Amino acid sequence: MSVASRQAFDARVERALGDEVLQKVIADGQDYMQALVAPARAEGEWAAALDEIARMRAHTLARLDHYVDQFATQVEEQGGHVFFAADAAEARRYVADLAQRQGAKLIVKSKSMVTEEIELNPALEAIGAQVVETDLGEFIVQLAHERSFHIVAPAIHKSLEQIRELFSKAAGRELEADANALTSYARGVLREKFFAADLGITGCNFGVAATGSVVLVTNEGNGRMTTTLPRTHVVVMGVERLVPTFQDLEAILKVLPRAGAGERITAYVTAITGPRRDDEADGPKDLHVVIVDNGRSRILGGKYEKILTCIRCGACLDVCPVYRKIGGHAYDAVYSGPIGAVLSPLLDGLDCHPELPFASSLCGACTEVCSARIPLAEYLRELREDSVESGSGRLPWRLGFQAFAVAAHSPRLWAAAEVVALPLLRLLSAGGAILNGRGPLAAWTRGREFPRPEKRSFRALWRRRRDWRGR
Amino acid sequence: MERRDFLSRLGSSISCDEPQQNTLVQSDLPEGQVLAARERVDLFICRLNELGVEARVVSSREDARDALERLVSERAWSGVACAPGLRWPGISEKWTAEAGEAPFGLCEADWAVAETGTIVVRSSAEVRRGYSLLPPAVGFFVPERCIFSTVGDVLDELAAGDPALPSCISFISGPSNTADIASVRVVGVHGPREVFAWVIAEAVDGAVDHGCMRHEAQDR
Repeated sequence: MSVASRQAFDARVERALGDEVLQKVIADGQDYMQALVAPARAEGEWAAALDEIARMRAHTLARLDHYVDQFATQVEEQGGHVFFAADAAEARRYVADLAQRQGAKLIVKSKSMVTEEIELNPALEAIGAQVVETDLGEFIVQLAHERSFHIVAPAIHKSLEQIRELFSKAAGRELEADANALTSYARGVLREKFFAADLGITGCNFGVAATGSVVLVTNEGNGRMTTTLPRTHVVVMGVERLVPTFQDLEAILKVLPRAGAGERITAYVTAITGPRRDDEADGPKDLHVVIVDNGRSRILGGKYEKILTCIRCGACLDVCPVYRKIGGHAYDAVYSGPIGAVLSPLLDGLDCHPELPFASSLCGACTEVCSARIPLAEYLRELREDSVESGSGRLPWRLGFQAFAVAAHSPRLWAAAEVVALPLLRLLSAGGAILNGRGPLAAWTRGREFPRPEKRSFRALWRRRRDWRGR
Repeated sequence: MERRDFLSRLGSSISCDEPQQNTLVQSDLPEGQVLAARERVDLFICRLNELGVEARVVSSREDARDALERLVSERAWSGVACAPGLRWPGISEKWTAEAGEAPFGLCEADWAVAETGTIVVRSSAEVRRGYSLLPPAVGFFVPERCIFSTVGDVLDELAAGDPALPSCISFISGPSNTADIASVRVVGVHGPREVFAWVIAEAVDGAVDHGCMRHEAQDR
């Protein structure tokens, strides 16, 4: 882990911790989500539904090549086009070329994490197209030139007043600080865009292999607008987002809305199967499905494979104590929170996000709530191992662990270390704890106390006890 | 990337040596509660009300039409967008409005789900996607026999593949909504703000051609 990368991460964390408004907004957001989701988690069938998702998703991954083949064949049979993108660059190029060929000037997008992952918007803007995010949260962060803060609620970090200011600036007039009024403003602006758009881009919550259907799970209706009004619909999907049949969606449709928003079902679940038929009067005439690998086949079949079973419900973000303090932007990755701390280094490489596996207390709350039973905390610990083994860990960290390993293997060295360390640590203590550590201890004591060691070590006490018994 | 190369890259990562065929996963999910017809209707209405949908049971298609005509008149709506098959003799020309301009859109449910208050609409030559999406208020005629107990029941119908899948199937549960601004729930962000439903208690008539007919099987 380079010093620069570490310092940049620390700076982002410090910025978040020092922002009182942000601290309150994140905590309120987590509490709000917890209150919404708690009743669903208490339902009797909840555990069975999570088991079912884990099993069905594992089954799909184990035969992913077959299901991708089947899905693509079905999309084509229904009149759609399929493009296989090995990486982000190929995916961007395909969509940008398509937009250019069709002379698309205005592109509307419904919320999609994978399009953020492949950095699609800048590529489309580079060819002169205007790209408008239409999910209200994404619209807000686009106006603010920021990244999504949360997988499900992109603008959860923005206060009402901050959003009012953003919208007022865009509108060129002062708007009322009222969620209804601000939503109404966005509705007006975005509706015009929907009607004028040449091209609509969506992600894909799930693709149904047996029928070639693309299933979108939304609340706002922007997904439906995007798949109804523009003449061309482009779907960008991660290759892992398939289920074998419609029946396999049952557990997902039970869990995803509940875990993501505390709802029995979202306002809309839309299944798109091919472009509009010849006799239909609305819907896109042209459907393109871009299936993106971008590092996923590297993860497939490996020790982190289960990360590909994620259904993007965002539940792990809503319980994570680290996310609660540092927020989504400190991760500096498309995917934040515990899922992001695992997925981002796996997709982009540990070198790109060396600090993320360490952005966790390993409390296990994420593993406990995961809708697909992904062992997130375990993965984070394993990624730390990988980081240390690959030599990308911080130098003092590595040297510290090496020194500890040497001492822990030798009773004599350990005893010698005690002779030096115990009195020294006691000397540094004020009262029952060290409050202002020096050197390697400084990072620890900046946020918490280091307890003063006892006068006698455990080994000394043990020896004494043994001697006493031997009398 | 070429399809063959893309698939073989995936295949080389997969450890599973089972035959690459479409093995259906046997679900461990507990069977959803199968409700009697009356319970289904009651639960459906209850769930719709919870979602903010104005829903009521009417005894016939004629009663549903009357209720709708009264609503259109009370609200002084200037037009209604709906499929030609839903228009009936005697209604005015204003029932041929474009979905993008009409203040009200009307659809007939192909299926519905009691446990979630969901109305399912299939697109077709007659039924445009926009009817249930673009107007600020939308309404649905829901023949009672189209109401299933669970979402899983409708998914079973879709998986059965008969009738063939249309280009768009919309599961609609209440008005369009968001909580993206300061976690305050607001309805009508992109789609309709108001949703109405009339559950028609009589047997399905000729206007509905599919889906519901299998429903007998789940009655106990």
